[in-house]
Amino acid sequence: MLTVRNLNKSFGETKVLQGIDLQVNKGEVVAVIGPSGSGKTTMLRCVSFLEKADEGTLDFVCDEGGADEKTETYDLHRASAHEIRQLRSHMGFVFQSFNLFRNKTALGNVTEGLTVGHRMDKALARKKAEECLARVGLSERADYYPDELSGGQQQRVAIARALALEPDIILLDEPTSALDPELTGEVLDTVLKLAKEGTTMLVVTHEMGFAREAADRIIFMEGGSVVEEGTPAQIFDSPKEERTREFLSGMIRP
Amino acid sequence: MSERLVGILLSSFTKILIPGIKVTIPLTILSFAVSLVLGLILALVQVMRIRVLKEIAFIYIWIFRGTPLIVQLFIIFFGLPGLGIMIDAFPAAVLAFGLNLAAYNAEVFRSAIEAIPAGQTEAAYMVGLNYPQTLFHIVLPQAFKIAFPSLFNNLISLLKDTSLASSITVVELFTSAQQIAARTYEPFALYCEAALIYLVFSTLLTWLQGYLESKLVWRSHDNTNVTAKGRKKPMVGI
Repeated sequence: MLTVRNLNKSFGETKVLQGIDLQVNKGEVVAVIGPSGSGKTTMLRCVSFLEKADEGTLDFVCDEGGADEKTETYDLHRASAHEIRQLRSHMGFVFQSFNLFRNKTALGNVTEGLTVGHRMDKALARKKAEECLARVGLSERADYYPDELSGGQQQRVAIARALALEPDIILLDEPTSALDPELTGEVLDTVLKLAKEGTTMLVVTHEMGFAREAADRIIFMEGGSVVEEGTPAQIFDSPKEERTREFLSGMIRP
Repeated sequence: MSERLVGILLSSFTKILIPGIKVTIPLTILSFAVSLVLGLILALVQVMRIRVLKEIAFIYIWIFRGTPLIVQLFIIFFGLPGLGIMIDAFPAAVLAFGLNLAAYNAEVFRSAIEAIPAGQTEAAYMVGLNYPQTLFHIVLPQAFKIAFPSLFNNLISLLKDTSLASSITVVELFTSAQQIAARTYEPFALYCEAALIYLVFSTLLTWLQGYLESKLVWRSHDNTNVTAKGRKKPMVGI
């Protein structure tokens, strides 16, 4: 579905990403964990072109297993605006800080991309958006503005907004980091539900319990490199690398 | 107060008020319209970082904010004819006030646009909006709401600044007061009367601002009036 090769990125003198290779298969949930400043978020932003990488390629299989299956290769440094738009139409993104459109209702947030971005018929878009809000359990909040919703509800609207475009993959950047502890549960449950429905996802997270439960594969990053990857059991129960062990012992308290 | 003074004040009232309504108010509205359109364009070329135009906008704002309004008025009305460009007093005043205030409104628009978190723009890109769509559907509606009080503030300033048009022969509210004061030798009473009428106009504008702001807040509201947390609905989009 998505293969990243040799992703490099520096901010000034600081090398943030050093030759990242990464693969996500269709239907798979991959969780990226690691200490703050390890480049997890930057990696996600480079893959979606919100940040311009210095070097790297991305192979992306659109509509894998479908009638229109097609593999595109993108240069993460040099892709054209047209290519970027085309890739993004297959990709959903959920931000740490939700980034809902504050001048739109929950429903408006979900339909905006459909009607304005993809010129879908208004009635059709509304129906689609209502379905997506129902999937995240927010049908009753369709007419509420972001300011009137709790953080957890806002993030679920953001997930519905990403779902509406029927992306091949959803990238989630620390979806619960900006939430009060009592609100993280509802968002994680929503993501977990999508995982069970077979949604392909690449999730950067600090929630180890969630990563273990939701992910098919865990990638541990530190200092801009992938240190270790494996199944949740391999990473959490018998990590091979010393640094992984150190990180996890700090994160998970007995 | 002498009977004569009362008579002067009463008879002059409509003679000042009518030019106020017929000249000062249209002058204010037209100049403000020019300043809004031009101000928005100047702000957009800056936030969109359009080459050359961005520099032109910067220089424009630098000049129009950095020189006195009355000097700009004089250059347009008395100066341009020297270059063969003749403009009547009223349109010259509209032009001078509009061009001047555009520089201020440009800064109001620019700062309001920059106040919208970049994350919303990124989110818009990710759901397939292009830059103009993001600007017109997401950024500008919110920026306009932020800019609104400052724009109105500038409108009230403009209303009073139009009295400067008296110096280029436009017969507006203040000119009329000047003429009657010169004829009757009662400058104190007449100028106070003019001041009072300006005060009434600006008070009306202040009320209008309050009304429009409340519209801006409630306009797109639906059935519910209570938030998830049980509060009254806070500000919403337009």
